[in-house]
Amino acid sequence: MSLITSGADAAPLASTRAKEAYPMFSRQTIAADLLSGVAWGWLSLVTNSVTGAFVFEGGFIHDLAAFTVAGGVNGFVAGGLLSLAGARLPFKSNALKAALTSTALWLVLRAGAMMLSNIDPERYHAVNGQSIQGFFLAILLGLVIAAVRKATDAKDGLPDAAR
Amino acid sequence: MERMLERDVMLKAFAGALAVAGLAFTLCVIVYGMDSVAPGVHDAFHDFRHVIGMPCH
Repeated sequence: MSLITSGADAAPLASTRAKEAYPMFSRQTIAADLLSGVAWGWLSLVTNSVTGAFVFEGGFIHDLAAFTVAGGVNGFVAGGLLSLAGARLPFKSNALKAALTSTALWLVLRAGAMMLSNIDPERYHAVNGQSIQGFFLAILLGLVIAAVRKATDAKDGLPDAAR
Repeated sequence: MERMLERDVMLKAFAGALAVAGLAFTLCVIVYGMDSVAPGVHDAFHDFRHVIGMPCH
């Protein structure tokens, strides 16, 4: 098949090819990921209140602000990784792709934390209950990202078959 | 025309990847409580760090 095209067909075809080769970061997707992260941050706050895995030390307003900011950052990074790697993941389901990406991000961060824990055990002290909660919250983040992207019709990094 | 479009898409993808890398570093600062990078970040995000299961004191 010839790659050379001309006329009115050339621009859309080139744009499609380029988008397939290089994942896009549209404003719509970035907004969806940030929104997912913020919602996930609040869900984490509620989940921990229910499970009691960690007794909050900060005040409610302080924690609400901290979970909003940190959740937004986490959502942006997990969503960005999904945009970059989503088309290459071996699943058809968007939710599975997003859950795998966010869980992989959490596992990498946790592995780094374990290294720090080995270096300085008193400063970095792991608690199993909180780690299990964190693992499930990471899966939840992926599911929230997939749900919000579906609701807002943001599809970056995801092939047609998986939309 | 095709090359120009491809370059435009590539630049947008590069900028996006750069933003993801930058915020990934910010996430590391938050998650590990790197006070040496951002003073006060350890205390500000202390509860968040515990809730998502990251080791802390």
